[in-house]
Amino acid sequence: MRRKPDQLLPLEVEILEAALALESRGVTQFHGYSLAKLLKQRGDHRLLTAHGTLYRALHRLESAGLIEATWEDHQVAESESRPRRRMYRLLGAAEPAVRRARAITGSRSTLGTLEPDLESR
Amino acid sequence: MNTTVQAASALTRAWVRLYTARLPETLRNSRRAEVDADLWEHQHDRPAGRITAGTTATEIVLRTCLGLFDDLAWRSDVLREIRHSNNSWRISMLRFTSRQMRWMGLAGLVGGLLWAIDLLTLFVRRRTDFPTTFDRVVPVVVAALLLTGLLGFLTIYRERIGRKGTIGVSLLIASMASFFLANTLLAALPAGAGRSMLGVVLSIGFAILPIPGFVLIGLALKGPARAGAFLVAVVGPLGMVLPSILAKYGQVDPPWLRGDSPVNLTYFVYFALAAAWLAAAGYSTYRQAQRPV
Repeated sequence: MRRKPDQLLPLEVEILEAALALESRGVTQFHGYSLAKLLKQRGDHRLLTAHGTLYRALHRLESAGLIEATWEDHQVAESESRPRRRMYRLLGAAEPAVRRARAITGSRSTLGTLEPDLESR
Repeated sequence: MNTTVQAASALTRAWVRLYTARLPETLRNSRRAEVDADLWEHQHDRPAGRITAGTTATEIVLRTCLGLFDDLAWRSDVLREIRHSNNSWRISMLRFTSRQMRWMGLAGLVGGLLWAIDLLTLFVRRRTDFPTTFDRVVPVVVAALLLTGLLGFLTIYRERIGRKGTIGVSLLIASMASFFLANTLLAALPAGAGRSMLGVVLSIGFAILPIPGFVLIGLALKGPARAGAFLVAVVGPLGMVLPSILAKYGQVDPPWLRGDSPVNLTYFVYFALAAAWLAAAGYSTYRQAQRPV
């Protein structure tokens, strides 16, 4: 059965919640690996989220207009001798979407469980 | 870098290359670069003494294996989105590289200019010489170039021109295809009733189809491109009905409107305007394909 277009999957809700928590602490952008690490550290996952699962979820959130992706500036990546990161940031529709999703499932938000040391990456 | 981690990363990259193969260039490159960046972060995120290279390599392989289904599902999602946006059209801009699109635009530009030059030479060439090698070769080249250019225009502007514009450009493509066939297939066929019939059909296709085509394109576009398209659409039928109107109501039969005259002026203006519009469309496709996605 195909899900409704505006319906969020549990992983997508987790991603948005993690990003909202980061945003509340002044971190407005994140990249794939930092997000995978963040999700793992929250205790919901024993392993880092699989590449395919993570980027597919991000692709869906981007298509739904909940997050926006941009490629990092070349010079920033070159100055740190690493590949460019694809940076994501939340859009205005993300927070209401998380609230709606939580209201439907009846589960509590886990925003408070983030560990501060992860936000630096 | 540890060999085990390198091997695990190479395995992941090989898988990413496999499942992104033949996807649109932008999406393909974006996904490959994103996973590359992820692997780099993963490889370099090893606090000294806490995580071994073996653990990192295992994590990388596990992350790849556990995401296999989602990778394939993502590919399927992307292809579905493309098919949906293409509607009945199988060709998408995303399936051409920017470089190919630029060449298609250039083909349209050169085709339009060549056609305009060919029309201008009618004034100096003697039609009694017809058909010369020049007369046979140039239309074939022009038709092939313009077909390529129109295909490029359609694929790059399809989203913007909508359904009406797509039908309009498709009619122009059909017209150019008629032009091409008239100068290749028709010339190769032996004389007879079948050849004459085919000649009539192709002539109608070439001369008539652009009129509704340009009307629909004009409805779909804005600015000078719209004005140009409407102008071609008006001049075309005008050239077809003007001789009969003048003959019936004005009792005149100007030589520059006769079908057997060396240059039928209204047809000349019609085709010259169409050539100019097509050249401009080719140039626009070329410029658009140069812009970063």
